Amino acid sequence: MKMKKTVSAFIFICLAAVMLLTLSHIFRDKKSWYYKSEFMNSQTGFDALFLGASRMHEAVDPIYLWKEYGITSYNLASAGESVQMTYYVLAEALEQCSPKVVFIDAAKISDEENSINSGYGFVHESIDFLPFNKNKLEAVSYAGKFFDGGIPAFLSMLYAYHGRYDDLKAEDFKNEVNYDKGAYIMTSVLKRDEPFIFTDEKKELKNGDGIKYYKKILSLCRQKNVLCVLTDIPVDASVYTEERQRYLNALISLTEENGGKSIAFNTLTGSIGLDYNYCFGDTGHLNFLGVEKVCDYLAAYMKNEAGVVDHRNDSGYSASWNEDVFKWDKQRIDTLNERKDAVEYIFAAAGNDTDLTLYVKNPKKLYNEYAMDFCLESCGIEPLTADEDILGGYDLKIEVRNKQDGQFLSEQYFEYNDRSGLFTAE
Amino acid sequence: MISLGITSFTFLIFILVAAIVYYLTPGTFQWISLLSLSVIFYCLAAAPYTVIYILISTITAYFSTLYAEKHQGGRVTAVIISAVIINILIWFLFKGNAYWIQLSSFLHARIPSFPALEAVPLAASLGMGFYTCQIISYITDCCWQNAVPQRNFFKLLLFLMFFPLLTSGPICRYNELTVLYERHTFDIDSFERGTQRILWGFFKKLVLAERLAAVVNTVDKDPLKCTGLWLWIAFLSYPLELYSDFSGSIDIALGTAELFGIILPENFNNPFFSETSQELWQRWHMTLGNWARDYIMYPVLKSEKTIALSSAVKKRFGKRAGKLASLGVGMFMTWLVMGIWHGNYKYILGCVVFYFTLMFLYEAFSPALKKLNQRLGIREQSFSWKLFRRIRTYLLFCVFLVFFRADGVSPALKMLEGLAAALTPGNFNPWILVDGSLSMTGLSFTDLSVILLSLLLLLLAALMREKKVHARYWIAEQGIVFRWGAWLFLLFLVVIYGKYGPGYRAADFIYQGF
Repeated sequence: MKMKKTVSAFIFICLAAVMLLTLSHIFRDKKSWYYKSEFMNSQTGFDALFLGASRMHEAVDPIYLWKEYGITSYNLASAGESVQMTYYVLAEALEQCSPKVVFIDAAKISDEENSINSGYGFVHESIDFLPFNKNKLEAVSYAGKFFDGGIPAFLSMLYAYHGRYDDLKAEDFKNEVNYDKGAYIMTSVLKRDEPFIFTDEKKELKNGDGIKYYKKILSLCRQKNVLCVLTDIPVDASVYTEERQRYLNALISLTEENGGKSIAFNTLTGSIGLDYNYCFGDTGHLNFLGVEKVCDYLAAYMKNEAGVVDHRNDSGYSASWNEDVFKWDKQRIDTLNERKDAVEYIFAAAGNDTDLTLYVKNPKKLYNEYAMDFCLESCGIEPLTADEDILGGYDLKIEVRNKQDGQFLSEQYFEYNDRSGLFTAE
Repeated sequence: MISLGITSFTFLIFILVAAIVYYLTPGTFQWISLLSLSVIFYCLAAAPYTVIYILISTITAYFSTLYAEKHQGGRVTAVIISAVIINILIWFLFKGNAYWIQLSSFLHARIPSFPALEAVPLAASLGMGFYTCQIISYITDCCWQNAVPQRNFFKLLLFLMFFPLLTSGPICRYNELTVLYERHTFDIDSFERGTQRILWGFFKKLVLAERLAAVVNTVDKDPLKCTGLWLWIAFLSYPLELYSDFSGSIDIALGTAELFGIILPENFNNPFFSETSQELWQRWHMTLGNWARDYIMYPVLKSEKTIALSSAVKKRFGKRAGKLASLGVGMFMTWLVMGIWHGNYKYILGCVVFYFTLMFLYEAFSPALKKLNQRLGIREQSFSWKLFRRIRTYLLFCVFLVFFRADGVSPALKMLEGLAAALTPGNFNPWILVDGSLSMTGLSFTDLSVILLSLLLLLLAALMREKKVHARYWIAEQGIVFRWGAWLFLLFLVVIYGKYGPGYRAADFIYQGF
């Protein structure tokens, strides 16, 4: 009788565990897995990895690097990620694959003491995808010290996210992944000011957690025989202050002293052809045009400094990578309606495989705003004037069709905002 | 400090480890492991140095009872009374400090030479109000020879420190807890029942009480915006919040003890099914009520002075008046002590002025009221009459709890004034129920639905218990699909709709403050 009871209790516990795991999958925030789970599933490995915060996340497009240069890479960076979390992500990544080079974003390497230099949600986005192992445990133990909820808040997805019951969407019941190999590429356009170079002076670095962890990254790379490149992604003049430069100069010295290399993009902007009128998506991040400039430079750098080769003719890579390119092109179109600004929508939809038709109530309004003006010109689109029958009360309708067979792919309606001069979707 | 509140993730891990340690310990030493676990719990959940007060209480009880056992005469009485007074003084120093601080402040305002006293800059120990009652009952029981004094100091310490009791009781008698020193082998049924009870407690606290608290707190924090019907919503919701909070903590305590094979006394028995206030107090915080009855009311009723008073009144005004006089004195002292135990003058006012007066008058006029009912042709056994009595009792309890909820006596009186004003034409605003105003509480439509579902589940369990059927045992008799489905559903409710986790700090249990 007791044995029967014990078996029964065991089965019940298993059922409860299955229920909790299922709920955990549904309720967890999907960002970390969306961007990074394809890395864990990869069977080909990567020659280059990009790690760090949003600047890196939005500055390097692995699909572009593959299409143009045959470089296999993955963008493991995520918004707001501190270098401490970057260390744990890198430690796990180097157990999964053996890249020739890793690029570490300089943006969130802080020398502040007793600071994680990141927000609660950002830490989740950085480390949630890590499998349950030593790296994950060390990461959550470290992060748990800084946030309400402690270690359980990073270890248990239900503990952290069960309160999302009012925010669940259809996507929460699926396991969608990003086929752009971890990158998020902006398609908006925002004019920025180019930074000036002020100084070669160096700040004296404090030995805060950020510096300690950055040294651990350099040490880990040496140990694994991987070239570590400190990368200062292009930013505008408001971010690239004199103080920031002094700090970066110190970081560059630290990197070189520990066997790493560095790319200070903000001192190279002219030579890589970055146009501050069109290459930024918002105040601190590049758009797809800026991404292309950065990727072109990085491709050459990887070839020269790390011996990274073109795998496009290597059958061991090309089949799966080309399949992923196909999946990404499809995903790019499928997710078009997430772009609420007309310029973003057009740039995201435009490509060799698509035809765009713009129906507009008043074409003059399209040319009022510099980003739209630039967008239409660079995409070679001639808008069509349309009436209410087509526009249905809106000011702009964009229709996307397949270039080869004319098959309908997507459409979106936009309203014109007199104050901002932008066309936006609901 | 590690958060070891009894609804925390850490507490769940603690009790799991504790149960493993306990059952792996040889039977003779199990009480030692229980004491060690209780000390660890105490040090993690409270300021460790405050354990000294518990040690002082244990020392006074240990030596006074052993002395009383071996000696006789007036000196014994002095030792016993001294031991009780020391414990009461410790309680007054730390938990009951509002009395002397407010009194000294009052006197200082009128007599400047009188010093305005300030709180002792030391924390009170965890569960002081509860274990002080326990130690007084132990000393008294030993003195009355209802209990055999414990000869092992550390066993007596365990009686006070048993960790499930430290948050909010229940208040146990020594004879009820001698089971702590017995050997317990792992019993899967006991473990299962304990787990179920803990889950039910989590449900009451995290799913229901925390949501009701959001409603009540919104009204309390924003009196300018929350007027009219808002006041009534908070007024009517607070007893439900307090019940689900307090009984939830008791469920967790009882369930935790059951994991170790230890059955603790119940503290609630469907209080909102009570038809009179007297019945309500026999069903609400039963262990405190029973303690007050046995150690205050009965001794007062049996005291020579009360008997003399009763006889004198009986001679002059008749038998019933004599009985009422002794009952009045007993009830007054009981309510006074109950009020004092809660640690503020406002509770004394609520207990003594409100409940004592109410219940004494009811007792005095009950024959007349009975006759009146007969004349009016009221069928006292009808459902409608019972329902009326239950609603009336609930509303009176709501009034009492205004004193419990308010920051002081005058805010409580203002609250009652506001409730009356809320019903006047200019202030009555029933549209807040339908115009989206309820979102001010931070609760979504889902949250409000969860409150209703939770109340329904509580009502179902209560209705079963009224018929002497415990929901847990009833579920255990059902088929496996229903049985497992029911517990998984409850687990789902707690895990998903429980108010816990980062960015959300569940409020401490209301009775944890005592």
